[in-house]
Amino acid sequence: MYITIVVLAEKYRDLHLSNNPEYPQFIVGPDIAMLRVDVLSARICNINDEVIKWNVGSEATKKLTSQASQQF
Amino acid sequence: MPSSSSVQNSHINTAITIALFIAPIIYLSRQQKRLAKDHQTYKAEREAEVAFLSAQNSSAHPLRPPLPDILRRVLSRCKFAYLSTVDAACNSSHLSLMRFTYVASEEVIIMSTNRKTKKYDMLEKQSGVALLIHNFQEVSPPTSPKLTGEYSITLNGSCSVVKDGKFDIMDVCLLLLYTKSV
Repeated sequence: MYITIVVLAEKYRDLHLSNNPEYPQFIVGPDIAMLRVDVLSARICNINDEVIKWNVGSEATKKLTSQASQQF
Repeated sequence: MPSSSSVQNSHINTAITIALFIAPIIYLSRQQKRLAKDHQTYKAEREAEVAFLSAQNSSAHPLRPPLPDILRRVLSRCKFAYLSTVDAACNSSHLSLMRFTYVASEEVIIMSTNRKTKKYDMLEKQSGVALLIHNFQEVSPPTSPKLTGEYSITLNGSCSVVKDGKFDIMDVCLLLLYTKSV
């Protein structure tokens, strides 16, 4: 008996496909990898050149960066 | 003198005519009310966003998690991003136009790429990325949230390839048996 365990990548793939149903050629296939970006910092700017900055903090940055380097 | 059945028929005809005339008017007026309500909500959201940006603009200290609502809203509305990757020696950079999905519950951005690409090769060696997201003005249905082309977001993040594939339970059992026997 074969029962399939769907891993996180497939959950993300389904979510990404439902958000972009017009582009399955870029989302589904044996050579298509799912990428996950953990956001460390952000800047948002409006047309009045008003900018706000955001970041996760140095501890979280270290943790997320080391996790990402281990994934590859 | 008209018979009672012909009078009844004429009443039915009048009722049908009135219904056919009034129904579209009611439908249009309800739709207009809904649109006006959506417009008011959108205007209030925009005013709140502008006030928030103006208030935070002078602040020297960056904001901390969670992501502010304005960022979440723009990320949820947008679908395109420019992804910047660099090579391991930081000698050259590469740009790719990507479709993305913002997963609000995990505060992550997901994308997909073919493994036989330059960006994938670069990501294998260097996981630091930048993303540029702009809510380009586009024609959208009147009821959906409008993209006004007002904001640009630059994100820096750590990109990882999510382990993929579907594992069969038999494979997992065999792997467990193998690891126990070793």
